[in-house]
Parts: sequence; C-alpha cells; structure tokens
Amino acid sequence: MITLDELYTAYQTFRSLPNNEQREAVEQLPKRALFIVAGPGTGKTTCLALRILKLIFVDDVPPRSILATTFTVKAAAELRSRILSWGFQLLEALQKNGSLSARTHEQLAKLDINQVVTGTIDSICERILRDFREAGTQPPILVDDYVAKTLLLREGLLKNKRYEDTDLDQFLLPLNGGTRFGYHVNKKNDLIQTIWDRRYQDQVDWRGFLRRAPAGERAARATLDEILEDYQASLTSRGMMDFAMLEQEVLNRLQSEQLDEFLQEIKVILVDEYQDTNLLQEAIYFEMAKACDGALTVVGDDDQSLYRFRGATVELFSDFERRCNDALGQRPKKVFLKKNYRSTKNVIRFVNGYATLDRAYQEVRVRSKPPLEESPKAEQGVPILGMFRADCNTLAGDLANFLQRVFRGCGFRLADGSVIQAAEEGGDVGDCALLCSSPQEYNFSEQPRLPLLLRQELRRHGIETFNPRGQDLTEIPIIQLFGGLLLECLDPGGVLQNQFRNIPQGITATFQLWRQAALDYVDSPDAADGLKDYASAWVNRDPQKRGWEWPRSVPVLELIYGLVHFFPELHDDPEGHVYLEVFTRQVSACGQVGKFSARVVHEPDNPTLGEASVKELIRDFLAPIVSGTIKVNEDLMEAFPRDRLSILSIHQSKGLEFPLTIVDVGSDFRSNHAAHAFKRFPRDGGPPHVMEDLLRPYTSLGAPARFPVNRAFDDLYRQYFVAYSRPQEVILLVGLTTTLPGGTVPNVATGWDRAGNCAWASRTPLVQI
Amino acid sequence: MRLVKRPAIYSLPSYSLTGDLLGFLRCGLQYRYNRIGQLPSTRPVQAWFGQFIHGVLEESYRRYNESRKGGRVDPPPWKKARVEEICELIKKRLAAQGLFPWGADLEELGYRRAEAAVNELGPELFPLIHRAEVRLTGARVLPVSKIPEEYRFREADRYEVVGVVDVITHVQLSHPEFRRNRLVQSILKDLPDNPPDNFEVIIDYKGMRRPPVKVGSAGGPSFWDIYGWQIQTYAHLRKAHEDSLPVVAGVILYVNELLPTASDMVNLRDEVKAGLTDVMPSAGGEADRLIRAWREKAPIPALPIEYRLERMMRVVQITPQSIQTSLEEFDEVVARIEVCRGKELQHGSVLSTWEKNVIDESTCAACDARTFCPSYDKETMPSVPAIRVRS
Repeated sequence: MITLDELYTAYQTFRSLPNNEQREAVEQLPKRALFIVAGPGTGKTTCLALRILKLIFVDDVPPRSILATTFTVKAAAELRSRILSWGFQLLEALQKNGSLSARTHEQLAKLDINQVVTGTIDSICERILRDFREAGTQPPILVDDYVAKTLLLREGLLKNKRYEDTDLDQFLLPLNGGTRFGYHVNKKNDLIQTIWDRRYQDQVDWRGFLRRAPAGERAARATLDEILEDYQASLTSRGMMDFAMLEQEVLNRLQSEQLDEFLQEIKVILVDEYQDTNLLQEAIYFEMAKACDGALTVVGDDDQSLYRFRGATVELFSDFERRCNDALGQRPKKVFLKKNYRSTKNVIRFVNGYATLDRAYQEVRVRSKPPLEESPKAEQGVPILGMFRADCNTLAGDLANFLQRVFRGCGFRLADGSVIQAAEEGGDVGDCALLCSSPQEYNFSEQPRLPLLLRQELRRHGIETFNPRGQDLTEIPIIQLFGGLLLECLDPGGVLQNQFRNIPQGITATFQLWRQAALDYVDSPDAADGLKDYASAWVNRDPQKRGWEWPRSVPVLELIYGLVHFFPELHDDPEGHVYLEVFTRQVSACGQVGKFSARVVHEPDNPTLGEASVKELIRDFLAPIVSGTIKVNEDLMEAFPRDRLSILSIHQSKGLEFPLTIVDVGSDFRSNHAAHAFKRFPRDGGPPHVMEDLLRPYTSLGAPARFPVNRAFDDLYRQYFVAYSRPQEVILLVGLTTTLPGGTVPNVATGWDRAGNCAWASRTPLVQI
Repeated sequence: MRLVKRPAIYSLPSYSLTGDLLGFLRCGLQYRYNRIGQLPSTRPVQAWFGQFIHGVLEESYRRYNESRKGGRVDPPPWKKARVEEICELIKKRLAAQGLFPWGADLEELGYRRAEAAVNELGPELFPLIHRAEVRLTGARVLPVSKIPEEYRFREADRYEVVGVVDVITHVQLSHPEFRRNRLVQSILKDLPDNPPDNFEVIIDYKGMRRPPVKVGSAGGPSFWDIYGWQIQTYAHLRKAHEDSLPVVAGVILYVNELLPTASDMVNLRDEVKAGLTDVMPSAGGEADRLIRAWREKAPIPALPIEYRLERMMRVVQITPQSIQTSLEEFDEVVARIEVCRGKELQHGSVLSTWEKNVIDESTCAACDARTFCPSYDKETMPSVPAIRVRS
C-alpha cells in the first residue's frame, strides 16, 4: 500500500521515530518469526503497535488477519488503544499526502483498522469457539472461579467423603508447604484445582501420571483422578467450561483441523508477555503459526516472569529460539530492546546492578542479554534512597512525614541539599506507589502491617490510601451491617445456620458478629425509617396486608435491592456500589451452582423445601463472602486516584510506572526467622516448585533441572527486578533496620546473593534518609 | 527536583450499541447501575426472552446452513418436536448463564414465539442470509467539545463503537428466487429508488413488539428513533468490511408481533385507536375488525399472517445522510455518558450525577432503583413480596 519511508514520514507527524533496535523489530517481514526481548521501559507496547501498523500499511496484511494477545484485559485494552489511535492518525496524515497515488488513497479509505483482533488468550479462545462452531454445538459458557471451586468441592471432594481420605492428605500436604497450618477442606480444594489447571497448562500425560505413580501415592492419585472426573462431568453436563478446558478445547480443535475457517483468516500472530506463557498456550500459538507460515512474533522479558504459581513456564521464553525452530522449522530473529525511556540514569544503573548481583541467576536469563541503556534524554536523578527504622510504627510515621512533605508540603530535602517535590502543576500523591510483597493490612497473626500503619499515619496528614486488596471485606462496616440484615431476614436467629455441621467455626463466628451489628442498627436511632418494618415482613414471611400472602418463590435479589433502598452508601456512593456488586455477583454464582436459582422458597405445606432454599443461600451466597473467597471487582474502581497513595503488590504493579516508587523490602522481618524466609532468602522450594516437581516429569519438558530452592531464589530476584524497575525518577527502599544491607536478616531485596554474601554491605547503593 | 506527573494510561473507551448507547438512552441512571456497576436486574424477563429468541433463530439458521452446505437443503417449516429440541438446547444454554424464564407461562410463550419465528419467518429469511452474528467495530472521534472541561477525565481522542448484527443478507435481484421472496418484496416496496442488482440488507431481531412511532420523553428521542439509529450505525460499520455489498436497507424484526399476547393486543388496540402505529389495519379489513371487536379476557384473535408479518417488519432506508445523522446522534449520547462519568468522579455521587432520561413508564416500573430514584415518585418505599390470596 505504502512504503516504509512513507509510513515513518506520516508517523513523525505525531510521534518521534522508533530507535534503531525498535526499527529492527518493526521492520521484519511478516513471515519472519520474531523474538523480542524487551527490558522494562524500553517501549515494548510502542514497538508491538507499530509493527502491527507496519504490517497493515506496508505489507498489506488485512487488519482482520492480525491476532495480538497479551496477558491482562487492561494490557490488551492499552495495546488496542495504541493501534487504533496511531492507526487513525497515520491515516489522517497519509490522506493529506498528495504524492500518493489515487489507488493508494482508495485503499487507505477502505482500510478498517478496527478489525485487528486483540485480547487475552482466554477472550480470544472464547471468541473462536463461539464464532467458529458447528450447528448443534454450544458456544462456551465460562464459569468464574467461585463456580468452578464450588463444583469441584461439591461434586468432587465432598462426594463419598473423599476429603477425609488420608492417602489424599499425605499426597497433598507437601503441596501445602508440608504443614497442616491452614490445611482445611477449602485449601485441599484449592490445591486440587491447581493440579487440574496445571494438568492442562503443562500438557501433563495424565494416564502416565496415574500409571507410573510411586507405590505410596497410587491410591491418592486414583482418588484425585476420580475427583477430577466428577468435576469435569459436572461442568460438561451444565454446558460449562473453565479456563483450562477452554484453551484445551481450542487446541484440540486446531489439531483436528476443525478450525480451518478461522486459520484461513489469520495471517500473523503476535504475543505479548510471552515470559508468562505455558505449554498449552505455546501449543496453541504454534498451531496457529503453522497455518501462517511461521508469522509469529513474541515479546517478553524473562526477568519479569512472575507467574510460576499460575502455571507460567519461563523456560518457554528463554528457550524460544530452539523451540520455535523445532515447531515451525524457522529460527526466529532475536531483537533486544534495551534503551530505557522510563527511568533516570541512577535508577537504570541500580536495576542493571541488581539483575547481575547473583551469579546463579545469570544461568536462567536469556543468553547474551545486554544491560539496560539510558535514553539520551535521561537525567541523572537523585540517588537510590533507603529508609530503615527500628520498628514498623516509626517507619510508618517517618514515611508518612516524607510523603506529606513531598506532596503536600515544601518538599523533602536530601543531605546534598536537593529537594524532592511534587510536580508543580497537578502533582499529587497519586504520582507515588508503595509496592509490597502483599498489600494486606494484617499478617497471619492479626498483627498490623506497614500498609495499615501507613494508612493511619497518612490520615493524620489528610492523605488517603488506595488499597483495594488491603482489607478483608468482612471487616468493612457496611458489609457487616448489610450481610447481617440479609442473614436475619433469611434465617432469623440463625436457626438454619446452626444446623450446618461443616461450616468452619470462623465463618459462624463472623455470621454472629454480622447479625448482632444488624440487630443493633435496626433498633438504633440511626436506622432509616421503614427499615425495621421491611425487615420484619421478611423475617415473618408476612406481607402484612389483608388479602395478600407471601409468594411461593422470591428471588433473593429482591430482598437485596429492597434493603439497598435504606442505605445511600450502597446506592449512591460509588465505593459502596462496589461492595454491593460483591453481593449481587455472588447471588448469580449461587444461582448457577444451586438447585433453587438463588430464590427463597416459601411452602407453608412443605417447610423443608423453604429451609433448603435458605440453607443453600447461606452456604453458596453468604458463606463464601465471609470466608474471604470473594473479592471486590477492581475493574469497577477508578484505577489509582490522583489524591490517594496507591498500595500494591509487586505483581499488581507489573507494567505500571510511578514517578516516585517506594518498595517495602523488609518491614515484616524483625529477625532471621524461618517462617518468612521464603519471602526474602528461601531455605527450600515453595508450593509452586513442589507442584512443578510433581507434574513436570510427565510433560514434554521433563523434570526441572534446577533444585527447588534455586527456582525459589530465581523467582524472588525476578520479583524485585520488577519492583526496582517501576520508578521514573525516585525509588525509596523501606524496611526495618534488621534488614539493612549486611544486617542480621539475609534478604535478596537488599543485595544478598544466594551464596549468602551481601554485595551492598560494603558498597551500598542506598542513601539513607 | 520536581517530580513529573504520572502519565495516564492511554485507553480508548469502548461503547457497545446495544449495551451502552441504547441502555443509556433507556435511562442513564439505570444504565449506571446495570451496565457500568454490573448489578443484575431482579426482573431479567426481557433479557431471557430476547436472548432465547435470538438463540433459537441463530441455531436454526446454523442447521439450515449445514443442510445447504451438504447439498440437501432443508428449510423450515419444521416439525414442532424439532423446533422444541432447539428451544431446549437454548434454554439450557441460558440457564448455564444464570438466565431463567420467569415461570412456565413465559417459557411456553417463548417456545411458541420461537416456533412461529422459525416456521413463519425462517423459510423467507434463511435463504437470504450471507452471515449471521456479525461483529462490527469502528472508531469515532471522541466528541470532546461537547464535554465541559471540568468533566473531561481521559486522555483518549477517540472512542470505539462495537455491535453485533444478527443477520446480513445478500440479495441478487436478477435471481428469480429472490424476486419471489416475500421479505425481499416487502423491502423493495419500501425503497423509493431502484436499488442495485446486488445489495445487502442488515437485519436485527428484537424480542419485543413494534413500538409506537411517536412516544418519547419530552423532547427526547423515542424507541422508534433509537432503533432506527442503531441500524443506520450498523450499516455504517458494515460498509468497512471487505465482503460487504452496498447496504441499501436495514430491517428490524419485531418478533413478538408474530404471536401477540393479551397485553400486546391491548397496546395494539389503543395505538390503532389513537393513530400511534405506522402499520394500521386496512379499514374494514379482517385485521381491523378483529382488533376492534376484541375485548380483554377474550381469547387472542388469530390476526391474518399478512398483517402480522407487516407489523413484524420495519424497513429502514439507508442513505449517507441518514447514516450521518445517526452517527451524530450517537456521538451526542457518548458525550452525555462521558459527562455523567466525569461528574460522578468529581462529585462522588451516583444519584445526582446520572441523567434520569427515561422514556417509558415500564422501564421505571421494572427498575430496581425506582424507590430511591429522585425522578420517580410512584414508589418511594420498597414493597415486600406479596400475591393476592386465591379465593
């Protein structure tokens, strides 16, 4: 359609030209397999979007024939936005270009960039199975995690009391870290669900796994197989699929040539975040790429692979050149993107130093990987800062003062006299984030953690935090009150609740707290007018109108919305709305797995039926909310409000950048205690590594070559590599003084290698504040 | 040193024609709750019914098409048991998604309407179908000038508009089979100019009755207008597809007209009386006589098939001007949604910031926010569930 020069000329009207390494990736021919290793901040999304536009405008690949996937819904939306926005700007610029032929203008006018297919691999698989299915077959109905867990528990684990099987316990316990701490029915269920997912993700030879079991595990593996068979049957009979089944189904259909119509449309595949792919997804991509003569581009960074616990297999990325050659008969062109446009020179030097700190870690990185380079415009920036205090309270107080001075005061002065201060126009605390291994406000012993203490200290300065994963839902007052009202309306006095034998005591205790909160409120002067009458009618199942009676069946949603009327904080406050959605979402899930379609049955002649409907609601609707299984839907919240400090897990921060980034490297570690060693200096592999050792021998990859403890170290280095590469300008490491480099607590986040040497002890990169 | 401001994540808003734009036009506040807030409705009757009819028609077409591809064309009408088997399949699919008919009556009605649609509409429609369930997307410039500066909260310069068209038909007028087709004849009847020999028509099913022509909120658009804009916008998006022919018309099929219920008959009778419908029965004809003579609680009369088909079909002419008008209307709606979103972000309140632009009473009567909606005063307290005691 147009030449590369014409493309770049048009592109230059609204953006700077790509650098040489980006150009190398962008300009490869469509059918050339391409392996892009992109360090943090090197313009990966730019490169991918521009390559797609080059394929469309220069190589004449129809937009609908381009399929681009990435790891999260948000990342997919961002990639699509870039493609569309730049694509339309290119079109506008080209339409003004008088030197193009009339035919080219005609072609440009017909171009429909919107037809580029983008999404997560799951959304694309769902679309393929929906759009390219045969008559009489169902489109996939995907179940959410709760429904999947419930069916696995009810139809698999609870059936025939398999949860009491001691052989199964012996088999599962090592996957729980070898401890009985927190090892209850739900935990067993979670572990079995992980095995189910990995069976597909790792393409496990399941028959081999069963047949070649060690003698001591044979019975347990057979029981496991029965559980999974029953689970699968329960989904299939309902016409449902979980995500693992969805992807497997697409692979099956690709391999059996049932998706030829789809494959005829697709000409180029591009995959972002390839370091977090698994064997199942790799097989899907290779099958698609075979139909496109090897036109596969993968982009990623092995140093940023964080999802081993979800089945990611980073070796598929590091070894992509060989694997691609084996599968597609084509050795891909490898391009390193190393020019960092995000961070200051000081931050880049710090990140490069961190990546090469541990010798053994180099063995698992992509071969000949170069360090990050500074962009020509990068500033020197302030040094890497450290704030270490004797206890967490002091740390929270000093950190809050620091933030107050930077964002609401006259700035924070460093020892060299320089001052860190918020952006002059519109700068606010939203320009900063605290990254932690976990954003939870309390630890397992119910002791407050830095996120809570910092929230409290910041509040004194009039600064709020944004930490949707910090608090358990059950601790939020409006959730307690609303949940208590629902409980009392459905099951007054807890008569039915008390008949349950298998609801954990913690849940029953929380139910009681909620009920009491509701009863106290209804009788208080704060209670809204009419609430008590409304609730009483429900309690008595009496419409309180002569000539009228209670219906035989009422959707529980009607009760929810009836009660919502009395709580403006649920129907008028956007934040409360997010909490209300938790209740309604769980009602829908309850309807999907239950027998009563989330309805309250009232049969005066057959009270057992009504009781059963209420018990189902307690078990499948309210208990999961209390148990903490159900989380708020973060997509409903505005991401990172400008006037609040964001507190995120390092995993959540992936792909994001902040002008000022605070990394909690050790606020939890008072001593070198074994209990938290896995978070800083592992003594052995953790559950994800045990799971790998269990299943990998039955996959095409074979048993992992590295010891579990080494893989645990690798994962921690990757985690902090991600954290340290988020800042644009300033990075501040915070922790207790025990975790100071060279202190008493070994910690890979503070410069320790796995051999037990702390490089930062003698040459610290940190300037203490 | 001064820190920089954190760059906003660049993301174009995506608006679906049915879920977002039509949803907002039905009522802004309800749209905020149900669509943006993802709160399900307690009365998803319309959702079940609409999806059920769509599902049955789509599956029936797939089966017809399989037979056509296999060289042994097997068009409807089909035996009742065969259609019922398809209905069962779709019912099960919807149940797995958490959508259920509200009682046996509704299910029965759904089955009968589906059967009527497959057996009365299918023979005419299926042979014309080029593609079914076609995903359409396009991008428009975000109408920033219509959004006051204080409510602008995005970096985006465009918005994406998405929709799924039920059916795209290809018509070859020189082919005798098409000339004989009753749907084609009806379409041609409503087109003033000579259409090209090969053209396409976009068809959209609606699981509802034909709306009256003029009823809307004060100064606002009516459903009649809104569904017209929808089909025009589909035509605009479809034109960008490589396999498209000139789109000369859109057809909206109001499937409920094939089998009206008692309440449909009440509405029809009232609209005929008031002259509010564009498909009046011929004066003194059979349909006219049956409608006028019908009394509530009497059995539903069997209106003539010609009249029912005529009421079911609405042909919308597609011209560059009509497309442009519709696109501008939808730009306006996008701007209104963006303003509401911006206001909510700024004021932290839902009730005071979203438009209460409801068109008809039935939308409010079925709304879960009706008791606390500031614009609705017929119910100000939630009523407890109750049914009359049977004597």
